[in-house]
Amino acid sequence: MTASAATQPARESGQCPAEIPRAGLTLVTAVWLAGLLVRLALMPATFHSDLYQIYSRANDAVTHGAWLSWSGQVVIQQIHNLWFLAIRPLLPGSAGIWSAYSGIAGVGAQPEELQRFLEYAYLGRALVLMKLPYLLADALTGWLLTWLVAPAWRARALALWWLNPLVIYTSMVFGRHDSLSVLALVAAVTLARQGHRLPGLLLLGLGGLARFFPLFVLPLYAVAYRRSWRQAVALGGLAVGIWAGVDLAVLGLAGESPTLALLGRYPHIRYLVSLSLPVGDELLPVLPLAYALLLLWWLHEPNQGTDAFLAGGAATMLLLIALMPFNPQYVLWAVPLLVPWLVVERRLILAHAAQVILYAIWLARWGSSVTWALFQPLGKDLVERLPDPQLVAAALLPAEVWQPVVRGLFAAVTLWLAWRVLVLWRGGVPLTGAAGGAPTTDAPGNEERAC
Amino acid sequence: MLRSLPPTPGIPGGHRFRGESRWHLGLAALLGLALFLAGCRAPLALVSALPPSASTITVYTSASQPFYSAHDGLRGVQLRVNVPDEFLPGQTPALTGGAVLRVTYEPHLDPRYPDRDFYAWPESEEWLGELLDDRVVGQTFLSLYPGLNGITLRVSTYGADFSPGTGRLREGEPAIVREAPIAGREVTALPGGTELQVGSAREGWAEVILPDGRRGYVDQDQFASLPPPSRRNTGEVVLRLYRLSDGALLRESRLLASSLHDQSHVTFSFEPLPDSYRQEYRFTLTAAGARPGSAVTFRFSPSDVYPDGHRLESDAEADGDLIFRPTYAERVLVETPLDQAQWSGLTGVLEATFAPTGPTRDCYLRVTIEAGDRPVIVHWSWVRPPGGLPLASADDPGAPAGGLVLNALYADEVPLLSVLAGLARGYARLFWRDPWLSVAYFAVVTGSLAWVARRLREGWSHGG
Repeated sequence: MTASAATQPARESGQCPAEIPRAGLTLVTAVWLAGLLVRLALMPATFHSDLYQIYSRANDAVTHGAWLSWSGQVVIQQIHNLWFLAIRPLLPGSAGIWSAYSGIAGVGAQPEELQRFLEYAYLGRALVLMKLPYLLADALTGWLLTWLVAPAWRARALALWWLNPLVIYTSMVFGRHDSLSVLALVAAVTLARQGHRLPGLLLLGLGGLARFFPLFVLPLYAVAYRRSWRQAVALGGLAVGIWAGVDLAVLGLAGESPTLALLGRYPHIRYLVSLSLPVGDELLPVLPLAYALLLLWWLHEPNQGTDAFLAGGAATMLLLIALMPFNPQYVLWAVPLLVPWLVVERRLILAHAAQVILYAIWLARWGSSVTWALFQPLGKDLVERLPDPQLVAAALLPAEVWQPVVRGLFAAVTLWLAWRVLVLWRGGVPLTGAAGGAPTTDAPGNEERAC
Repeated sequence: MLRSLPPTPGIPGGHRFRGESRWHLGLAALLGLALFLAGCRAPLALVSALPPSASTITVYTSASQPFYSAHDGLRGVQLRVNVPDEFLPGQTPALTGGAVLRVTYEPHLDPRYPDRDFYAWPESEEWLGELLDDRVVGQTFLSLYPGLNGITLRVSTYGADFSPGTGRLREGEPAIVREAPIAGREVTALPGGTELQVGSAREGWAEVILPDGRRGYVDQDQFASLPPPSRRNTGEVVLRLYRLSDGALLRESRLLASSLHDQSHVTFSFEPLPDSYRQEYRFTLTAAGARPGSAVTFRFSPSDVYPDGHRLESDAEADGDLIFRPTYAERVLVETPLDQAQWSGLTGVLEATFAPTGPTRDCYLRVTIEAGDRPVIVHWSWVRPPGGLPLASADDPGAPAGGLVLNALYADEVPLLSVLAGLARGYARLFWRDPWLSVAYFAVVTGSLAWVARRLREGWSHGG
């Protein structure tokens, strides 16, 4: 099947339908309900120490006034601090359930603190309230994604996000806050598409301050939504200015630069240069090389408009996931900008399904801690009776065999998805209604008129 | 397969027959699934990957590695060894030249009983006071191994071995002075017939003060004469073992108080209990015929050092725990020739497999390699297997302090049905304990369903 055949419905329509067909509306409703019920079922039942630690630090901020004591991920921590301030009255007798060590880098929550939290009388309520922002973020992201694709594809786009196992796992099972930053990224695209470039840039910058992934698409954003190259440079400068402003503000308030703290102490930074090729007595890091090449190639192409940004952004995120070691929650970033492309070609959905399956197998690498142990709120002793997937895998195949094979396949599928996205974009497949690759003088405005 | 079955007489038409068969088939499949889930066995390994090799040791006689086994159903052992790529003339081509792999229980290394270090006499521990005729002390405990055949305690006889003073060594053979009794490091050797200052007794050895002021221990059997004891203990010390669940008396063991050494370990032995794995017991100590001034005492910790049991005083629960350790009859779980093991050229590992054996959950085990016709070269690593215990080599007591590079394989039963039922109960408990959460969930789910129903009705009405 060729790309053009796969995207025939879009081409046939010529323009976006004015409204969703009634069958589609029913399907959208069913998708919303199914995703909600799954999430509601999982919210009180699962727990990871990351979730506990970020709220324990929020407790430090709210109770002891240590609002800026955590310099590593200051923006996301502040969001949690404010949310904790709102939900604390709804958690009776919760003063003693939080960790005193979560704010100490390198120490973290202690086992007895985790046990105390798991024994909290209102544990289900606490977990639901702690994950509620992520539920809302997932829902809003899903809703925004439906507006990024043609109306006929909204149900599919929603299902691919809202029912996506990677999304549900990351936000609801693992209880990670990445969904908040993902929402900022998708909202930024939606705003820019409606012509609000600066608010979009602000959101993207905030998203990047919360999690580092959106920072990699900032240059794409500045270029895709420019009116002129001069403006693109100005947007880039503004983004750097926002970053520097926040950094200097925190430096002034807390006496420590979050940027330097991240670069100097945050262990995940080294992931970006982990994969390296030996060149004589030097090492050539693959990810920075591939990212730079992708960026340069993308800049060389006609690159204005949302389709261009979605293509470059999706490829960038997929590149990041494929070429750096990642923690289980990172893989969420492969999804949001990919969804608009998944809807136009079934082969991509199959590849994404393979990606999900390989990821599920890859989770065995981390063992019970990211699988059964997440269900500790239902009974710690019971969960410990389940076999550790890591040890099951080791009993079947040596780790030096299955791990490279699975990781290699995952990276291959992920890179193939990135390549197909770029091919579809360059093939002129319209996602959002505009002619994706065609240079326009005022792309966002044209896109709105097109729909 | 069902389609090939002949039609059943008396059943009109095949359609209903096929429907019922499918229903029965579905039921059977569900039943099969339930049985599978109830008793399924999962393959498991001891560690997720073999640790990196530091170097090798050569096993001329035997080498062994204790480890903590968390799972049941031991079915294999993987060992990283060097196998020969050529053989000498006359040598039988075989992977290990007739070496044998043996797996046994290792209860005496289990650190979960209060007597954790044979040589340590911490000041936090105390003596119970004289165990007189009418006094009963005891302890409850969980037996972690099968074949319980004794209880070891620490006893003091209040100087019934000898008094402090001067002792004289036997003539002839020199006597070895050690830093600690039995297996302590050698301090010096003294010629036979030497007269020495002796202090207290420990483990049947006499503490001696050397002419240069150093202290050490000499076996009491090496002395021709020792100062007379400060007292003579009388009567019998009786240990009785009861099953905790129904209080049934299972075993009894008696020792003469006069036969016990001061500040020493004493084991009350009895016929092994084959089914003692994970069973709870209670033992009591009494002293028949012991009077004040002629009774022994036992060591205990005033603080709780043993979470799986508690000390007893006259059958009532008392603070702290006796310092004790159960002993077990030796049992070989597996003995298999290593030449029949499978060699993996990929990982450099010999994998010996056998029928699942046990119980091996929550136990300390020891893997022993006994060399056959030729030495076996085994890899060791600075990363020790679970349990953190070092390897031991019969050929080289100064073997590296690392662990053998090994993995254990299991076929462990997974009680999926009971776990799933337990998780469901846990789920219900979350809501049962928090009615407000239940109300909120009910409201959200009901509201969502109402919204869906409204959307669907709108869709149908628009559709005419």
